[in-house]
Amino acid sequence: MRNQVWTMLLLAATALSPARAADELLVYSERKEPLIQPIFETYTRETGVKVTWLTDAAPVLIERLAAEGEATRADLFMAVDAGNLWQAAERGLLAKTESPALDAAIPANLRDPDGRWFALSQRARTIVYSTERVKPEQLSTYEALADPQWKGRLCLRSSKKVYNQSLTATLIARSGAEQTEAVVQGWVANLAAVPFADDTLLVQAIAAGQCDVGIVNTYYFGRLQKDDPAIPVAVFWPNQQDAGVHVNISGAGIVAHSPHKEAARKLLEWLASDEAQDEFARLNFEYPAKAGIALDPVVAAWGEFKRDPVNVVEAGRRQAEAVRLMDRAGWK
Amino acid sequence: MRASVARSLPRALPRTTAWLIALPLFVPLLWLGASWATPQPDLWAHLRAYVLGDVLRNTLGLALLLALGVSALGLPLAWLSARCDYPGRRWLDWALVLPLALPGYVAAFAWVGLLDYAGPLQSAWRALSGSRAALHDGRGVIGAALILTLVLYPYLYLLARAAFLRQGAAAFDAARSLGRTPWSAFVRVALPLARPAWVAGLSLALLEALADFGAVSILGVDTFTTAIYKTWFGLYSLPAAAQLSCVLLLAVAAVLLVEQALRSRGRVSERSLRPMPRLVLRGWRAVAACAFTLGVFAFGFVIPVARLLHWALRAPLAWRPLVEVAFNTLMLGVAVAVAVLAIAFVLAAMERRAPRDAWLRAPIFLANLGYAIPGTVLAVALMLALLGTEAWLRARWQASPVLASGVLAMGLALTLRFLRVGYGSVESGWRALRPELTEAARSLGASRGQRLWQIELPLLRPSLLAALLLVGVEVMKEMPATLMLRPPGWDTLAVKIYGYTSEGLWHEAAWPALVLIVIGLLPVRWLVRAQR
Repeated sequence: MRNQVWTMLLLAATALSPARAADELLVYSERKEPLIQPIFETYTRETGVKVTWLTDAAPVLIERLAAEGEATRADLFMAVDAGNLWQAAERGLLAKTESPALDAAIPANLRDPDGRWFALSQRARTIVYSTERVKPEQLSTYEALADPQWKGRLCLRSSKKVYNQSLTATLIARSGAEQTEAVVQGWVANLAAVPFADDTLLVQAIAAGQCDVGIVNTYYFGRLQKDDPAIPVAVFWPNQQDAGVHVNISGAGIVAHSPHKEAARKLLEWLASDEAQDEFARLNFEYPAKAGIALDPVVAAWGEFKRDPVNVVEAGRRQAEAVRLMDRAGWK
Repeated sequence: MRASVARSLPRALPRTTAWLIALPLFVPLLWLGASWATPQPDLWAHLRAYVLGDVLRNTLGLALLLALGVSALGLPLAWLSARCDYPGRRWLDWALVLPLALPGYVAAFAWVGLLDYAGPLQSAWRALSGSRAALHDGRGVIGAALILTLVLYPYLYLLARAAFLRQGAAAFDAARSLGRTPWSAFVRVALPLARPAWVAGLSLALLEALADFGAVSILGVDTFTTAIYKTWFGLYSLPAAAQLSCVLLLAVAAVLLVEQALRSRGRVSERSLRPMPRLVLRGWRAVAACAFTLGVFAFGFVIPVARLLHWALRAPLAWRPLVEVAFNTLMLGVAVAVAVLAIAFVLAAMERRAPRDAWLRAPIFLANLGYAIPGTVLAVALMLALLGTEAWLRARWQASPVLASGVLAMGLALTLRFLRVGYGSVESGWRALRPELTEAARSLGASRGQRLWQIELPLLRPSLLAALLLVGVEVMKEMPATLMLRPPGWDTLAVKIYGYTSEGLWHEAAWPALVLIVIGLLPVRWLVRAQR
């Protein structure tokens, strides 16, 4: 018995110390494993460069990068929200990357003006509605969901989620804090249920009839629609006469003190290539950051729409202000 | 002079040892305290005005309901299991511990998936009734209290059961012979005797709930812990988040002091060695006991696991990576459990020798606070401190050790986080050990080593085993600290579950959740056997 215990402990010790090759790339990623693993595996298959990743919430990874400083082993920082990329750049954690390939592939409003991070996919946060109880003519803008006609019919996700914080931040950038607060108060007054923990539950609630409209990232709906094409929910593109649909990004930047900057730049450029963009976006029904990439049929069926052209940096800059506004308005 | 040195030496040694052991925990505590150096008056004004009121109400409400719920399930179940006999008792004895294997966040997402408006129950109800009205979906303070009660009551059940099993028959018999009914003897004699176990079980459950983030956020309840997260992740203020953690910690310290007071006030040594005969339940009493225990088992375990199975069957299964990750999880659980057991044993043994030595008790008390710090906060404090040490070592000695992203940091964080779980069990074991036995051995000339190996350790075995297994299960279920401090590319089941649930991929999360439960079942089974 005692021998067995020792063997187990020895095994534990060896299992717990993974060895890493010198040219291996390390990615700190807020984008979750199921959404990055396939793409990195493709890269390794094609180039022989091994990629490992450490996933966690972006604020945690940012603190870690800051504390590691020059000693960091991370090469690439990947986040699913412009606010977090902005925050990392603001704290001097990302390197300025000069790459004609990246500048050509990624539109200017989807990358840092100083070249410290680049969007890799776009995530539209839009209105979804029940096809059984709502006519699309009744819908117009995000702001109009504050109208009393939606009382007891609106569902929202928790204000703790960064996607909602960014949406609110861009509304502030667009029409000022005062007006935005009135809109958010209207939304809260119209809620049909306690805010949900994620967008999937929200879409399912609309399908089942708990509420009639909601605001979600389209890819959550895409996954559900793929499983059940008959789901009685549809996408509506709001604010087409004015600012356009709120688009957030998932993107990446090279870590300021990366030990393999050159290799990291190659990986980043590859992620912006046609091949990778196609796979990256398709993996999760997102919109590619690069223009001219074919969309997944599920996504293409939702049609073309006007996007808010504001640089995504705005969301980052105003995020803390947005959170306070949401707290004041009572958005849980 | 020499005599006084000789007298103080045996005191200095345990004191120094205790302070040295507790030292790593002071790192996160000091780091939290240091956050006040950067005051955040503006943020605090905002928190006071719009956040704290709501959060305090929810936290207090949850704690209160949970205390009621856990007591209402844990105590009667423990009594039925330890002192009564009814059909099916033998396997229910251990089946009732199984909910312990279910992480709170997993139970939460299983129950929400079952109860929400789009879930199977409400859909069936709408189809039957033709009404579109929403029923209660389990989210909110009451739902959270119920669901957490169902996964946390086993702490109290286990501790109270052990206490009831230890109680001899004398006191109970005396009460009965004085004309008390069995019920009245239970309330007036057996319960007060089991009070230390009651308080210990309750405090474990409450501390776990206070530090919980995963379950309450799925259940839509804003507690103190979610406010800490939001302050950091949303308002981008790590100092303010650390300051909030300090407030939470002070509240918890107060609770723990009350617990200590309550425990030490009711020290009754039970002397009867004659085991108590079981009360054989018959007729409607047997039916009621069966229904109650089966009901708790069904709601605490069978139903949520069935929901997971239902999801899992519709999700793809990749065996090989899952096996590797399961192995990692198991190894981590074993390693940390052994470390915690060793530390808890040493601390408890020293405290037993000098129960009134404040200089010895202070570090032990502080070392036990880790259980109340939300995992992410504890981990970030430790990570930043270790990274700071690395940077200092590099600058000073040109050495480049890897402290913060290694196994060591993760093990350290988890040891600190769960020391209390192990310590509580070991300490209550020591308490139940009657000093006369060791005294007798001593008077017969047994050396200290002989007393330890031949008398104390064998008698303590059930408590030590319980500590080992409880901590092992806890470590395997833990998510935030493991997530932050694991080496890159090295995952546990909890980390996998996080990857899926945070993306709303509930079906895919079901497989790792089920494997985690299955691994947790083994220690749980041993745990109950050890108590017999």
